[in-house]
Parts: sequence; C-alpha cells; structure tokens
Amino acid sequence: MRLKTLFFLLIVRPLLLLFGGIRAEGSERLPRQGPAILVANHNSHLDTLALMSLFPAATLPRVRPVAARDYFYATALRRFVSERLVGILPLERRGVRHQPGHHPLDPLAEALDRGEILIIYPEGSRGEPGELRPFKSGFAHLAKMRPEVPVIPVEIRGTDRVLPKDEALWVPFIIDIHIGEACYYNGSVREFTRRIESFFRETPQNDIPERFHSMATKERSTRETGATASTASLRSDRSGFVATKDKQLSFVDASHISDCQSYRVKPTIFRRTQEGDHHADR
Amino acid sequence: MNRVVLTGGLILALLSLATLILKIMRRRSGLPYRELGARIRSWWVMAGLFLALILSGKAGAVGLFALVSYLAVKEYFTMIPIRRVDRRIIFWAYLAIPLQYWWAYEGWYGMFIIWIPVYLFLLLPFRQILTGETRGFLESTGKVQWGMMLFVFSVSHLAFLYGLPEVQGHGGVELLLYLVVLTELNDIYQYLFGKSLGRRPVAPAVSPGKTLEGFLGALAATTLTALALRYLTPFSVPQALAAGAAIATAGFVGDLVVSMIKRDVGIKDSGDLIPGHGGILDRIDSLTYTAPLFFHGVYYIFY
Repeated sequence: MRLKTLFFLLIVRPLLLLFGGIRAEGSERLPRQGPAILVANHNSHLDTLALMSLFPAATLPRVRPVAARDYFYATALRRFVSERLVGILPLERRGVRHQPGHHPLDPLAEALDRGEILIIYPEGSRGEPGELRPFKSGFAHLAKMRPEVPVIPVEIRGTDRVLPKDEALWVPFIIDIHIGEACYYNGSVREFTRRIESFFRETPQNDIPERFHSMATKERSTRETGATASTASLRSDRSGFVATKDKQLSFVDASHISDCQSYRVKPTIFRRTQEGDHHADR
Repeated sequence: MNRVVLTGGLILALLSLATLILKIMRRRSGLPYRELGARIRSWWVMAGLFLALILSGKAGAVGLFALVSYLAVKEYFTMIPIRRVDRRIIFWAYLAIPLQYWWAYEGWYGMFIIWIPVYLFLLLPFRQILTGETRGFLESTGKVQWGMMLFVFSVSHLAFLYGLPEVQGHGGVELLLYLVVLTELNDIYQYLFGKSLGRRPVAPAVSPGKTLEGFLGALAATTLTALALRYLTPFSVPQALAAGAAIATAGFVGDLVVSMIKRDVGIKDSGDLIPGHGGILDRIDSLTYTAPLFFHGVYYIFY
C-alpha cells in the first residue's frame, strides 16, 4: 500500500475523527474515478486533509491537490509531506513564460488526461478565517481546455476554526463539507469562474444579519425544496463566512445566479441533459 | 448485577419488538419508513454500546460518558458564533473535561462538584485577560461556561452516580441504569403520545413538536415505568413515583432548553452523528437536566 494511503488511513482519518469530526453533505457526488476538478474554498491547511479523507482508499492515490511548488517544496520536511504523504501536484508560479505551443496549465491538463482528480483552490492561497477571496480563473481556463471534465464545487467550513492560518494551536470543532453537483465548462472563462464562485457566496440576502439570515435560509430552503434537515443545518451554519469587510466582495448580482449556484436553493429542479449541461427546468 | 443484566435484556427485548413492529409496518404499507428505521438502528447501537460499557466496569462507563460530554460540547462549540480569540478559551475548556471525569472516577466528591462551577469559572476569565480582547468578553465567557455546565458538569453526574457505593444492596450502576432508561423512555413516550394525541403545543416558539398531551402522557407512563423498575433502586413506592415524575418533567425541560439554543443560533439539528436522531446534543438534551436532579435527590436521601 502506498505511503499516502497509509498516511490517510492511519493518521489523518483517526485524528480528524477524534479531534474534529467531519459532517459531509453530498459525499456521494465525490467522483470515484478521474478525471475531475474539485474547486474548494481555502482557509486552512486542514482543508486538503479533510477533503481528501472523504475519498475511499482506492481513489486516494489519484487525488492531487494543486499547490505552489515554491512553498510546498521549500524545505525537505515540507517537500516530504507534500510529495509523499499528500501527493500534491506542484505548480510552478514563478518564471513561467508563455512559450509558443506550451500553456502554463499543461501539467494540470496532462494530470487530467491520466485520470487524476485535481483539487484547486481558486482563492490562490489561504484566506483569513471566514474570508472568501475573489476567485482566480485558472480552474476555468483548465476546464476550457478539457470541457468534458466535470468541475465539482466543494465548500468547506470549520477548518478555519480548528486550525486557522498562522495558528499552531489545534482546537476541536466539527468541519462541514458540502459537495456540490458537477458543472461543465460553457460560456466564457469569466462567466464560468463567476458561476462556480457564486456557489460559495451568499447571494440574495447579504445585508441580513448573520443570525437572522441563517434562519431565513433554513426556512426558505425547507419550504421551497423540502431539503433535508441536515441540508438546512449545514446551510445555516454560516459562521461568519460573510465577514463584514467582505461585504463588498460578497455581493453578487442576482442575474448571474446560474444553475450551479441556484441548485443549492432548489436542488430538485435541475436535470442533467445529454450534453452534460445543467438547465433550470422551471 | 443480575438485575442490571435483566434490565439490559428487557431493553434489548423492547428494541426487538420495535424492530418487529417496523417490519410489519413496512410490509403492510409498502413504505420504507427510512427515518424511523434509521432511528431504531441507532437505538440498537446506542443501547448496545451503553450496556456493554456499563457492564465492562467503571473505566469503561466513565470513559463513555467523558466521550459523550466531549462530543456534545464540541457540537455546541461548533454551533455557536465565536470570536477568533475564543479558540484559546475553548481549548482550556476542553482540557477541563478529562479532569472532571477523573474526579468522578476517583470518587472525589468535593472536587467533582466544584471543578467546573468554581475553578473553571475562575479560570476562563483569567484566560480571557491573557488574550487581551475586551470586546465580547462577557458574552464569550458566558457561552463557554454555560456549555461546560450543561454538557460536561451535568452529564458527568452519570459518571459519579456509577461510582456510588451500594445502598441496601443496590450499586451505583443500577441507579444509573434506572435514570438513563427512564429518561430515554420518557423521550420516546413523549414522541409517541405527541404523535398520536398531541394537539396543544406547550412552547410553540421554542419547539412546535412539544405538546401538552405528549408531556402528560409521558409523565404518566414514565412514572409507572419508574414504579416497575423500582427493583433497581432502594426507593420506597412514593420515592419511585416521585423519581419518575421528576425525571419526566426535568427531561421535558432539558429537551426544550437545548431547543432554545438551536433556535437562538437558527438550526434544527445539532449534527448528524446519530442517524435518525440528529446530533448527540439532540439525544442527551433531556439527560442534561435529569442527571444532576436525580443524582442530588438520591445523594441527599441515601448518602
């Protein structure tokens, strides 16, 4: 058995189980086989470990978090953990030149061609607790290069409480992971980035205070969709995700709420057509 | 000890009956009854674990309750809004849990009874001073201390009860079993009476599912069960009746208190740890009230 699989089975999973606890919603939507692109928010090093621990041991070797080579290969220890235990796909951030015939995302596209499942954090790097930074469009460019590969948004909450950026003290809290439905590239890079990003953002009721907001969301979601209790509880556990300083960023024009976002509110009304696209069946 | 095994057997028989009824209901209606099925399956797991560990000895029983406390308070801390610096406060609160259960295991009553209400109460504000964050101090300290009182201090009374010496041939394990079985049965009675007869909501703003009919039905049934299970206790008949009524009432209140928190933070279930039941808070909510009340009643009368 590979070192990576052992690391997750013997260390990461028991540790997270006892000193954290993961509530996963929609884990049946996690791909068993590649290729696939998982797009997740990023506030803690635990994001990667928590998300990867949801995969069965057989799939684990194919799951590759995309991470900056200059940071994760900087020291021998970091490199060992990144390369052997986690199995990152190192991405060259610096000195990448556009050469004719070469695209900087080629290594990622090749990984997809090998059937790997990539985890991409489009915020670039870890944000402050509760902060969701504007998405970069790299994943959308990649999806454009391989439009047949599903893009699955994954929202992770709570890791920024257990082990926030720049903290070494681990404090147990439950981690919520919400796996969305697969989306496929269409439209433009800009539009697709926004569409996926909108999955992570509070949309219509940004100006409602947090506590009231969560109740409103819950009531709306249960009323309109008959969403399960666990959906409601996850959706309402918005623990400060819409930070005040983030207000401006959080605003998303309602006209841009497209399928991959609004299915969260109305999960039952979307059907996948043969083209593999999502259409609202209103 | 034989009485414990006998009661354990009764519980398992009751669960078998529930499983049988579920099968019949499924066959008759053709409906899957998924939620109810999950709930009964979870009861099997919980009853099995509980019985196995209280029979295994003091370490197993105390360890189980410590784990339950930890998981419950973790759900609570996850649920409530916190400031970033509260992580440090909460870290110290977590450290108090093993100690609280250590005192219970040792049977050191004096320390057990003041550790969280006095020492932790003094320690948490001290830790707050070290963080230097004055804004939200009162709210944060209050929330953390309150959670520790309800989910650690209250629940740890189960562990101390287990270690009580025998009274008239009845050990702590019997009293513990008596308390837990009655509390959980009371929950089930409330559910059954509420489902079948429930009309008048008692506290619609807090928990619309709680009805007067459910409460009264459960009160009667729990009091009768308390009488029937009197063989586990040194209680006289009036004492058993009073214990049953007290457990039914306190359990009802405990349930509503936890609903208050969930309402306050705006969620329905505290988690999904126990399929069909919700989180662990949803399962132990009544125990947070019945355990200390029952314990102190018994302790006052017999020790």
